[in-house]
Amino acid sequence: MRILLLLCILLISNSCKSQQTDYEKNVYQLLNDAYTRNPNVSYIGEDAYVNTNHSLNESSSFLKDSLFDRLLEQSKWQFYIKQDSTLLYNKENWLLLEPLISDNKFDHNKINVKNLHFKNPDVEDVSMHTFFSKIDAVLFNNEFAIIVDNLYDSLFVAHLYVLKDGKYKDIGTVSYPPRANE
Amino acid sequence: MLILNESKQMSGNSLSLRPGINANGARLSDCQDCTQMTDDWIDDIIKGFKPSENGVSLDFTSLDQSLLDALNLSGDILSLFDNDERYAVKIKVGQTQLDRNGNPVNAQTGRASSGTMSVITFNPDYLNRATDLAIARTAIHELVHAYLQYIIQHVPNSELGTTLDSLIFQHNFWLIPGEPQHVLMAEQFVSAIALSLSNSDGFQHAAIEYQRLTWSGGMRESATYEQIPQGERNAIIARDQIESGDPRNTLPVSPLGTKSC
Repeated sequence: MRILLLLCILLISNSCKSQQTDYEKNVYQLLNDAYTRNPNVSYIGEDAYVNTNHSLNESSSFLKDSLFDRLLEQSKWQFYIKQDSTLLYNKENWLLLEPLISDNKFDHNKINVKNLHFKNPDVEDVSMHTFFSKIDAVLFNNEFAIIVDNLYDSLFVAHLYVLKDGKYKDIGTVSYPPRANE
Repeated sequence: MLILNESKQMSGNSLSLRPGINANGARLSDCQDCTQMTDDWIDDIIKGFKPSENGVSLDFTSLDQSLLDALNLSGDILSLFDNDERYAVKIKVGQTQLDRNGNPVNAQTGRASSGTMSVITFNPDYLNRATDLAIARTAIHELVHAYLQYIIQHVPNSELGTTLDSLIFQHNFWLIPGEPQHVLMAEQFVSAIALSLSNSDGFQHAAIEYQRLTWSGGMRESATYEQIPQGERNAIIARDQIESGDPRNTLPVSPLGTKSC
């Protein structure tokens, strides 16, 4: 009986560990794809500077934010979303891959994008970077993913991605405060 | 060309609005002390758009290198309208339509029912709070809309007109994101808008800042925009928020442009 109990505990433990690993693995693939410069686009912009510290274990709180609804609403014309709208609007589906990450700092070694730089504002001077962001949330739902950025606790930007041909591709962005159209 | 702004609009035409004043003569802005300054502001910005010095308007109907290198896009568009008696552009200040978030758009370009005139309307609150750089950016953006409306009306079989027709077709079948004119602007006009904005501003700032400002409004819903790396898209949104004078903005970054009041 004890052996059976130990076996169950071991199985559950391994399952949790595996899920955590899957989430982390997806996070780094998503970040690498999101910040990679597309060689076919002439406008690439400047390098990005991002806070090493994150709060990804709190990612589920984004599902209660109005930005989540706006993000899906703005992106709903997309072919991908038309195909999977029920899947996407069900918030529970965004937690099937539980946002659990072992360290509250990003691992630089898992980033292979030259134009993405992680900086720790607690120990490094970041004042020379005009736009410095912090990643508040990353969520996955099958082939879809969301990244939520925060600039100086003042501007919040949510990006929706879809995994296509092995790469995450952006399909929609919304912000708070929202930007006006013209 | 017909620019019905402060200098020309008191013609009795019911469509002619004095900036900051609606058709009934009521002020549109809460910032009453600033109204006259805003009048001068938009007038100066539009008048600051000069055509190319060779005296010949560039032909943007062909999507070639001349469009990518254009330094005077807005001035050349105004010059084109000036030289074509069949078409005019009217610029006014007034209420604008609401976007999907329920906020008034910064500016809009419509076409008069006669089909021979584009009407650009600037939102008065936007003019009061945005910097000159943001307003110039918006003015160039709207002039491109006016130009595309002109192309649809008068030069439909040009390369530009055919490309636009193709985008409209794809959009109608949900094959591409974004409104077709904005998609075309994102694909073909970014360089020219950024260069023309830099030129009208005397190249005072880094080229990247003018490029960021170029990505405005509906252009940010195009597939081209979605290919820009995430960090740069954040910078584009942040710069737009700062220069637009959004009252909710608390970003610790100074605007590049100056405000009318």
